[in-house]
Amino acid sequence: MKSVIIPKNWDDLLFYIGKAIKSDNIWSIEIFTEGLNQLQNKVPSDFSKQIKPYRKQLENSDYGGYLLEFIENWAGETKSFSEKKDESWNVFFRNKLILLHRKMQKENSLPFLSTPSAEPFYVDPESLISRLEEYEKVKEEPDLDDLIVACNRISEKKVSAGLKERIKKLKGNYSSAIQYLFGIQDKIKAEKELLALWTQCARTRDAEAVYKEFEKTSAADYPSVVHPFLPEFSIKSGKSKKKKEEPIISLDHHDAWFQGFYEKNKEKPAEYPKQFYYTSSCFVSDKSVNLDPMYLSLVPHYADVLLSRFIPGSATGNDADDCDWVEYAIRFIAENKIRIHHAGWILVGACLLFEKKQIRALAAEYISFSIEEKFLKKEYLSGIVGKMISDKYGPVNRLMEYIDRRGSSKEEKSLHLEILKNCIQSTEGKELPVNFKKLTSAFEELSD
Amino acid sequence: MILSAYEYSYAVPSACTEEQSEKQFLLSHCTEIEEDRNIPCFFYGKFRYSFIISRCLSALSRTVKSHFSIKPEQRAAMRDPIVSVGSSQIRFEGFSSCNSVYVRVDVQKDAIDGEFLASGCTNVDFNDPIIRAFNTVSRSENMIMGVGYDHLKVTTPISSVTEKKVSLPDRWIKGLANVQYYFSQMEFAFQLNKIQTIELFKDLPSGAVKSDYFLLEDINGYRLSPISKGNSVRIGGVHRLNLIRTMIPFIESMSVYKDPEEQSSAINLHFKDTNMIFVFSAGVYRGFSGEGKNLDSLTSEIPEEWIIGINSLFKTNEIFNPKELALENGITESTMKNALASLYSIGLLGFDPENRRHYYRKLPFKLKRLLSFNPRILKARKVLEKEKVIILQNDKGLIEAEVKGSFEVTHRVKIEDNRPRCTCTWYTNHETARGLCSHILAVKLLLQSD
Repeated sequence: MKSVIIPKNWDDLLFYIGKAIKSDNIWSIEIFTEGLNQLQNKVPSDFSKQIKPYRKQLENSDYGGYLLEFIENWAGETKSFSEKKDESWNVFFRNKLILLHRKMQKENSLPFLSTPSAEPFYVDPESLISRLEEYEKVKEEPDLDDLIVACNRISEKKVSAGLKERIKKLKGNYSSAIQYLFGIQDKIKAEKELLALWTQCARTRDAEAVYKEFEKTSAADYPSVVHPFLPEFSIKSGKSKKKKEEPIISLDHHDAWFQGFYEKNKEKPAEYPKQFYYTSSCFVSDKSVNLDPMYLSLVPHYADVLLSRFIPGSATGNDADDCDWVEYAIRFIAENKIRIHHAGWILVGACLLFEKKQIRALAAEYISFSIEEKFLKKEYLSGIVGKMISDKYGPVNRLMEYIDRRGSSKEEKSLHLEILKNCIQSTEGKELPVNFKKLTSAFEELSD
Repeated sequence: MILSAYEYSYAVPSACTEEQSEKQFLLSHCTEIEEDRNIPCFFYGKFRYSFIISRCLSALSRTVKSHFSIKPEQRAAMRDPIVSVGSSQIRFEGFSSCNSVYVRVDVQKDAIDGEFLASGCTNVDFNDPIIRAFNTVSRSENMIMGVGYDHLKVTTPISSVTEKKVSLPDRWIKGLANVQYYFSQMEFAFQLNKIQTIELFKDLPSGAVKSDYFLLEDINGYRLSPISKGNSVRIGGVHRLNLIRTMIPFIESMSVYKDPEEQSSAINLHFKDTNMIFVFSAGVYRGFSGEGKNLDSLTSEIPEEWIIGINSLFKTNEIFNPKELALENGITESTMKNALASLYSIGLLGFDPENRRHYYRKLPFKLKRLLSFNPRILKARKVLEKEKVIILQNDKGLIEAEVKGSFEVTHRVKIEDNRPRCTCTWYTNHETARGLCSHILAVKLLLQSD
């Protein structure tokens, strides 16, 4: 992985504003924030004049408005920044700016723990431990949210013997959790104050494990905390956004859980912290899903719960908004080589049958990647696609386009066969979807 | 879109006549350059492989009529291709209406059996009957073409007619000048045989695609993928490749070229003694007219006498070897680089990807018009005239300057180890991928004048 470079002087930081505004990688705004933090004492007096050309550009960019508000307030005489709660904000980035404001008031330029150090958005273990050591050296307590995201973004779980020794020497109350994350010790402490950190370190360490240690905690029913996130889904006829009657997918129990969570918390929707990123609870809003391009970069080791929020209700969602979000999610995991474990495969299955060809192509690319990297859950994905075809979520022809993909490897052909077998089994006793004959002949051909 | 004041008109329309197993295409021509306008006919003769060439010309006309990003009301009714005749070759070239696809048909010496009566570059009238006629040329038919009318050669009477006037958008002319420079910077990426090309086009989405696609080669062969991989060629607005689809059954092979900075890509379809080249901009909303990769070299102007000299030395389609020319005339490498950029920008050079050679041609527009087509450099000169540039530092490879922009905004320009940066919106959006912004150019102009 390439190292992330933090601007080292004022000019680099100034020109980085443009780069952050234009970058497709929304986390580049965090690189700017880190640069500003580290260079807070070297900002020139005509700072306001120098950033003036960027004012309009910042206002029109995704996070620029927040950043502009922050730097203009800070550059002003009062150096104030309102910490008011605002639901429209990205909770993580908002918290980062509040932290930055507090740090600047105290002239504290200790690095943020969660700033990416390895491209695209990972934090390498060496950087995380060095940063924590810096905090401990000056007896500064790290921000829990910052620490959680740093651990979620870890680039490697295996660390050298030397680094293990340094981890063991950490003194903060987070020390055991970090040791657990890197496999230095195996005992989970389900302590209340650090529950969010513990649950996420545990899931990062082993995506497949059942963590009975959390069964008696307040987070016991949060998705992915005790059990891996394997929600049931159903496909029923319903009205799509276009008000058309068509097969709609829903994650029954899970959707109900989210709704309940929102209802329970709607009086204080923007209250912070909501640090259970793996449960995606902080992304809940009255729209049931409040997606933001930065969120997936906060959960690269276990994106499954969040990805489930991107599953298109209907496979004919050609509406620009729906389509963009679906494409964003599948492209994100394909381009950044994010490994999915559980419910993420429902998204991949839905994308394989989606109306837009490029979304289907992205799903096929992701499946090839999972085969190459040997993390494909063949039976699970085949079962998902089989159910989707038999319940007519997507047409047979779109699946056949994938099955007929030229140059498929032996492993891919084996997946194709498994998918076709599941489609045939799932349709037993049901009305057959249109063009089902194509599917059965492909099955016979592949079985030979 | 602002339409140029330039209108070209044909005294008579192009016409096609048919006799037994022969189709005669007489293409009416016009140019803004007076001496060429008076040439009655540039070429008259037969094309071998007439079926293929007629299909290429039909695909070219479809391309110039196509559009991928502009509104219907912005489309001009019709834009005719430009033909370069000379050195025993004929090249037809044009742009899509949105300026994001450049197309050229290069008919080589061995595919032509005819007389080159004059050399030059001119617009030709591709009207609807002519385009329809291209589509009807059969494999057994002969195709005769006249670029211009030579009454001695015309075997059938020209039917009559009304003058045709066409307004040409500036961006179309600008793009013609810019695209050759981009093309000359490209690197060869892949060569596909016919079967591989047919397979590749099966992956092509038919509808508009917003995100980029990548042409790549892996263990399964060549394919189009929405994900980039090591050796891939980025193709923005991949649905534009549908312009090529109808030509695939006739090709012998296909070459693919990539811009080192992934700002454009090109496809060369190879037929017997004929090539058809498509150059694609980085995306459908990006016309070649707005590109300015060569602007850096334009900060030092070449003297006008050079242009006059080159014009008298070379004929249309003649190979232009900058190294040889520099050696013969004692010109330094950097001066030649600047000269090449200037010659491209005024449409005096084309590029042949197959032989990696520049060739001479003069676009059929007045030099003055072409020179006015670099708004960024013009803006930079204006900035300088108004004394809006203050050099803060110029020392050991580090230049820092302030340039006053509009709305009381002052931009900061920093050039460190030849790496320029600016705080303006242009730089934020494109950095240097589409050439330097006017503020950096103004700083460079000022330093060169000192």
